[in-house]
Amino acid sequence: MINPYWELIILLCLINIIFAVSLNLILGYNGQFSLGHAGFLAIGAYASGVLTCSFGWPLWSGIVGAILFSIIAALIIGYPCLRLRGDYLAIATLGFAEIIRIVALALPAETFGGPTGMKDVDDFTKYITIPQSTNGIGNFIFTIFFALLFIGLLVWGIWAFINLIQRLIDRRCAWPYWKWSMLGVILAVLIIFHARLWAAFTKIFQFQESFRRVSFEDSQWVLFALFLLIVVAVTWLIRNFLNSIPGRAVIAIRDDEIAATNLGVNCTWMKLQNFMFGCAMAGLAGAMLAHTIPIFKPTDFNFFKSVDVLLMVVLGGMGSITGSFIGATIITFLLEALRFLGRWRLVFYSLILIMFMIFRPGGLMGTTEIGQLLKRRAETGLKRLLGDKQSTTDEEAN
Amino acid sequence: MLEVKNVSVVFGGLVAVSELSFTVNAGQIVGLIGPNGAGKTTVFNAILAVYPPTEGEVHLNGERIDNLPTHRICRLGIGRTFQNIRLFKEMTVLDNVKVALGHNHRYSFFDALLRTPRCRRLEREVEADAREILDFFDLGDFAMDKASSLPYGRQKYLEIARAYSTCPKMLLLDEPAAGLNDTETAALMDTVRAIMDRTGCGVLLIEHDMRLVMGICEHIVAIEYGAKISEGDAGHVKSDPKVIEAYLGTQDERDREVGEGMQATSSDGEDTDE
Repeated sequence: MINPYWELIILLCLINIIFAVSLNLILGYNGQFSLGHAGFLAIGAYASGVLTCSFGWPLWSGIVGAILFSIIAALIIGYPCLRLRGDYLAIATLGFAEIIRIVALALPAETFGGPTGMKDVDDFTKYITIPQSTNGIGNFIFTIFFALLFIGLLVWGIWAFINLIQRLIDRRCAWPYWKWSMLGVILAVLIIFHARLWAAFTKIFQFQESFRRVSFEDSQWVLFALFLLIVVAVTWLIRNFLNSIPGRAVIAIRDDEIAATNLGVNCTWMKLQNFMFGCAMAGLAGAMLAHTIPIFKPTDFNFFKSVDVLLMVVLGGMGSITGSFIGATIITFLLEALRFLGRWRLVFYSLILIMFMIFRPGGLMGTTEIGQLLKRRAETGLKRLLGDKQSTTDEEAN
Repeated sequence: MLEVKNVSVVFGGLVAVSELSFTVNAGQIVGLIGPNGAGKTTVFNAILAVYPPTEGEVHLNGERIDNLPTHRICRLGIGRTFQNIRLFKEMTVLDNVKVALGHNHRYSFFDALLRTPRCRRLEREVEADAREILDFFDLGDFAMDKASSLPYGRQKYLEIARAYSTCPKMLLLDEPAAGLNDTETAALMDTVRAIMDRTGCGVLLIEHDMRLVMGICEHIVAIEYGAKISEGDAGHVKSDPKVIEAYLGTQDERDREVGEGMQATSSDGEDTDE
């Protein structure tokens, strides 16, 4: 079994992915700045928490209630702000998030927990009927899946880091040279320190243990699967939305609002619709959060939470769903890795943000998705291959 | 038929358009000319209520449209292009057209979310329509390219294709030939004619290329400082002393400028030669 601490981190990571994707929908695809997205997370968390605890609703209806509350809040905030062009939404949401936080503090403590926070909210595990089959296969597949995910992200992170450094040095040297030499350096480091790196890696994720006795606890792996399923479902919905007529209208508004209006797009309604959709997803993330972490308090939803999610989106790439996945994963795990820095963590955060704005303003992924990127790579590779063949046949002909 | 009746647009103390009236019939090309800053683009913006007219009325096929929001006016059948190209830069060429096709194919938000059969069917229709339109405008090969990666001339075509996709009864073109050479301009005008043959729409055209305007427009409206100074066919407007005065100044002013070396006019001349 993965220890409860890392279990919580993984679940938080999946929640953060939903949260980041919901902001990306508003910020990356529609170009509307929401600086108080944590406010909607708070609404989701408190709504679901109170509905299940004080009103005795089952967890699932609590989540639906949370989504509805977020949509109503989004309507109230969005309607006056989104009728205008410009960054009014940023200021309004910023204020709104603070209001939500203060209200949560001020509401009666017996229902809303007050400053000490809400405890004993229903746990997901209470509602999960554990399947009887307990032996390895499912657990093993799941372990492998997560292992691949982490390794993939690690490789990606290293690659992105090299790219960053490359850009630093790029101004003096031709870049293919640096690419290969950096690859050499990385390989050398890997070969020399492989034992130590592997030890560190397994220690971090406790894979040694989990490989020895391949066993996620049953409830644990059902929980992972459930959260993953929700993430996949949300991604599917958002992808569908973005490939539809309203979705394209939303993206068009980001690129040129005046042109969009002149082509028959009802900009106010489209922006509002998109904002409500995004906030509904944030509410969902909030509800999931409420039922996952043992305790949540108003200060968990302060301005820094909004900055966190902003960072995830900017890091991953505004206008890329898979980018948000990567951003959310990196930031969640970085947050844990940097615990020892205490308050200095925020300085580190800001530094990352500044570095990204300078060297890679579009984020890791820009506006492309991983699928597109791989496809493009494959196509250019194929073209090069075919091109080479072409040239060799030409030579033969000559 | 587009009727502009006594339209005025006032920004604070500045009268950008004053009591302008003209009519564009279906199947007719009307040119709107005037020196720089005369308020031509403002007329377009007033027709589409980007800046709603302060006074006066705009009618499309007998229906009053000036009190409607911009997107509704577009849906009633006015398509426009912009002077400085306004494409959706990050989107593909195909998606640019699909955005404009959007309001003819309606399905609900939840259809879109869940990708229902209805949504899929309509998406297929949109895709087919968009491809057909791109082929009509010779843009088929660029369908999956980013709009900003197109060469300048193609971007102009894409703008017109986009305006055409809204199924306009009236097409407003803001300097379509700016930055194009003579052959490109001729090709563009053939395209405009082809659009008119296909849809029977009317065209209101802002253009600085006088040869083009005089050649293609059946009816010309000349404005200066937002007010109409002349209206009629090419021959009439060309010889109207008020128009000549607006473009070249009065005889007195010209004499004075000749004395001062006419720097401004000579540099203008170079521009048009290019």
